[in-house]
Amino acid sequence: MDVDRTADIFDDTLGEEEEEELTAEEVLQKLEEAWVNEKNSPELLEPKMEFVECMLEQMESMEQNLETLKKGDLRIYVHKMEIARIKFLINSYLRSRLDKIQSYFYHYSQVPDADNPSKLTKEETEFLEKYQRSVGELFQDICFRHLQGSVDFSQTTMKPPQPNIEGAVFINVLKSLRGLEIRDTAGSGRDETLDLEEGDQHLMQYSGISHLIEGGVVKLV
Amino acid sequence: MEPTEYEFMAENEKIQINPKFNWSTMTLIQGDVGPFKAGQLMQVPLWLAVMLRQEDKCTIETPEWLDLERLEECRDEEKESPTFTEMPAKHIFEISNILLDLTSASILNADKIRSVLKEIFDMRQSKLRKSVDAFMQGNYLHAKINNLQQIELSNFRPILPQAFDHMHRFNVATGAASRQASISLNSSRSFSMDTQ
Repeated sequence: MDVDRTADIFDDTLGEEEEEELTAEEVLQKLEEAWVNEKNSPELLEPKMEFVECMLEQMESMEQNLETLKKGDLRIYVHKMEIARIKFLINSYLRSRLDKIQSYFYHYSQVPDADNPSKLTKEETEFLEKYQRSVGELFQDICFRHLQGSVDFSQTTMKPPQPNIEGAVFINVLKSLRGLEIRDTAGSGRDETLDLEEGDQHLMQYSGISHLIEGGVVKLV
Repeated sequence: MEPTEYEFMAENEKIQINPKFNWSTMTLIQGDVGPFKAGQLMQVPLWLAVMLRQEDKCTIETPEWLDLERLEECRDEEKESPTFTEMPAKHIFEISNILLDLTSASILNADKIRSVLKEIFDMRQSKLRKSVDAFMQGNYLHAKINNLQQIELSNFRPILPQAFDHMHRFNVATGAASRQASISLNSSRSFSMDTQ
């Protein structure tokens, strides 16, 4: 069979350097990890939009290259399949973030301060505001306009639904860590200190390990 | 996470194939594959292997752990050990499911392998159930669960973390109630002392 003359076109798509100098393969790997973590975490994690954007660029240039190939070329199916897989990954990642924003929209709309930097992207913030407005209008139409007087929600002491950060999660340890403290948030004095070995898997409360996810010390399973 | 999503993750694992055609290296986003030479074994991601096999462009080399004797050894080890033994491969259940569905004609004793794998899975599930019971009784704060595959954990996801959450909420409520009770007890005691 002839040597593939169109191979050169594809050389441009690989090896695009990010600021952290990751290959496309590594970016995809990191995106998959971020996807799994996001799906298993009760609260919104740091957005990894730079990986999403990198993958979208890669897919676009790949799709453009595919148009230059003649029909029936074997490579078309292979590349299309890969693009479909990456699209699914990105879709699922973004959807799971939006799900969480929708479930706990009041909690995430609190004005972020220095202790709690907002973990929403610009587009997600817009979505949140639109959603909050729609829900407010809905409640207004259905119920509040029929009530006597006016209802002011900033005066109420009820807490809106919050993500359950004390829920249990399964974790897989990526880097060893000695002396992790686990506080018993129920106050019955079961505080423990644990050593985490690489490769171990544990079940514990999310609040005990949430600070270790970003640094890549543990990953959620 | 759903089992289909775990299968999606398992499809990224590499597997050996024997291509029936020749082609130069393909530059995929997730890495290069190739060059393809008919008759020469090579490694590709599982999703690609399945696709090529369905177009009848390659044969898939059965991984060495997907063998009846090896799996029967695993099953016997699992039976004897009180804890979970290490499985021969990551994503073993997902990959064997895909391969058995696709290439059962070329795998020896495919049916027996399927039943041995099911036995191993069921054994591990029942061990998991017993240890969950012990975990709840002991009111522990965390548990170590090495050697468990991700898909087995997800099978348990509705039960174990939620049971843990409920216990936790009861503990919080009990703690708060007992603190409340001791405060009111102390205040009533001091009141009666004053009136004397």
